[in-house]
Amino acid sequence: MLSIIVCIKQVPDTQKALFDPKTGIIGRNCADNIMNPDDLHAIEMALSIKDMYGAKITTITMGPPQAVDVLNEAYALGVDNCVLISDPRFAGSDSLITSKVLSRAITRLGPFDIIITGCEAIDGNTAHVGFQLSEFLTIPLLTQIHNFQINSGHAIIERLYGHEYQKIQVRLPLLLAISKNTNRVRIPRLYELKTCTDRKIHMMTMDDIGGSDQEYGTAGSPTVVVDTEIFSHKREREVFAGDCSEKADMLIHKLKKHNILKY
Amino acid sequence: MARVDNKFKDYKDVWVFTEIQDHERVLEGALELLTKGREIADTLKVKLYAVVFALEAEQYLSVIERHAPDAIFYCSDKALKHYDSQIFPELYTRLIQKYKPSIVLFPSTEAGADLAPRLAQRFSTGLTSHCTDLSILDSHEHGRGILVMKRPAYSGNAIATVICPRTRPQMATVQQGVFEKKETTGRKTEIRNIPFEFDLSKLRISSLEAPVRWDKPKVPLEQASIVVAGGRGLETKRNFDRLYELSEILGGEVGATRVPVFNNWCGEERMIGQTGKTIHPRLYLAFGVSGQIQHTASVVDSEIIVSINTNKSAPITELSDYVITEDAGTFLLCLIEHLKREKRT
Repeated sequence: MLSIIVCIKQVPDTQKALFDPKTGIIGRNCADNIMNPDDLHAIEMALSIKDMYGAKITTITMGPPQAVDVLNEAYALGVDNCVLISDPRFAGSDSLITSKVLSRAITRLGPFDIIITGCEAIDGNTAHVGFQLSEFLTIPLLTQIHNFQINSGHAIIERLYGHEYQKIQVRLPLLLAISKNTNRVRIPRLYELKTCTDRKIHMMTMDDIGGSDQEYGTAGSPTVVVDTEIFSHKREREVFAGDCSEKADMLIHKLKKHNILKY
Repeated sequence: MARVDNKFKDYKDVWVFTEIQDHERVLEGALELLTKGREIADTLKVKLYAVVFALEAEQYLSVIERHAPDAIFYCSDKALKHYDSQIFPELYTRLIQKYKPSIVLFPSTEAGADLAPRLAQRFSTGLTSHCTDLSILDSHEHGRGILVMKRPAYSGNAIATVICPRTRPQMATVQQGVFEKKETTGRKTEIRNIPFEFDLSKLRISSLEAPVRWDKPKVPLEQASIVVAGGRGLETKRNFDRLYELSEILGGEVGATRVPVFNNWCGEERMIGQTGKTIHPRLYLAFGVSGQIQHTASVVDSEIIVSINTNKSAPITELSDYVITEDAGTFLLCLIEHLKREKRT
């Protein structure tokens, strides 16, 4: 049976997040934490492969203890196993170190035929982890997939690459990075939602994946954030008065004044 | 500090991944990066290298030369016609090992976004993506000539300043349109051919059918002098579609924030922002755009910004020249009507 691992992440809901207007920093506590949207599609990809070929799906996430919520959600959707990789020594890891932690955990949990990630997380928007997992694990990464089939140890994939549609063949194991365009996410059954929190979450720490303190977290991360400044490009802010129609006339008048409207 | 300086003394120059677009032209963003790279190299008193891998790469050399690198490394082979995530990183890795650049810059394109994180992993070094500014800093703590990279952060209202002090090379990907390109003359550029050496039998991905060309619809948002953009506040696709009518009247282009793209009101090629396009039109009209930084950082260079939003304290109002507190959909309809009437008289 195929063995699939899906890497997911808990992120603050940036669409709903509240900002402190003074510091400009997102209030992590006031924003809902959700599963990263692309990762839902990654789980859906795993489930559809399971539906077609049969598979055992393990979902892993790295994060603080409350990240267990997204693993419960993954259980509700139908995955078979969940692993939380959590250790204060990982705090402050940048994308390279996150990829290192995930790749080491995957190697411990393995072997796997298919590893699936979302393309990018909505909180950091780096989209590094898929590519760096591909490098750490030395297996190919495929993106922009339109069609996926498995035939005797090979994946037959149709994908968009640059400006070409390609039909390609890749020997397993491989890595897929999935975005929202790939599929439509299923809705979990009520019974699964009710019981998902009773399922066992397997825990891993640095002691399980190996390595030393110095390799992880802030100490191991090559990038250093030295400053975060409030973004300010304030302008005049002339507020138009009147009703809708008067405001439209006012705008047209201004555009003429700036020589943008020429009639 | 002495230790830091000493450790990196072999790492000197500035490199730019000079990407070829659609195997027919040098990517605009690469020329912009060369211009910025020139400035950085001059500050550091080091050399600027353009690195070009392409099919018949020779044809691009003269354009690249005009953007003032001290040297061009080029490699030409039919296997390099398209970016390949197996071949390009391998060739790059060898070059970096041999010549040890201190800074490597990439445009934030599909190819750049694949190549850069792979190389960062191979050299266990840092990468900062989607940068909106680059500069050089001498620091007591981190040493001299450090690359300072700025990028939007916290998906809210902040810009993070990131450095990569302990490892080399320092790497960044940069949005197209952030810097301006500039041609110069009179610089002597050294041109060096890198022989293509790659064992193609190592490739793990094999093609089953001849690929079919698929052209992304090209939306010249970056060049448009008027951009009318819609966001979540337009609420429906029907409202969003009216933007096309307005843009036609004004002679502009339609852009979008993340929400319309997510809701499939329009394609990704219209997205303005951190993972989309950076624009600098004369007029930017924002309908129902709240002003998340991933979006606003990419429009701040617009000459005139007008925002139409029900929420008068939405972040977008801060950077607007003109603020219209109305329902975006209603005002859009009203404005179209008035413009049509205007045109008739």
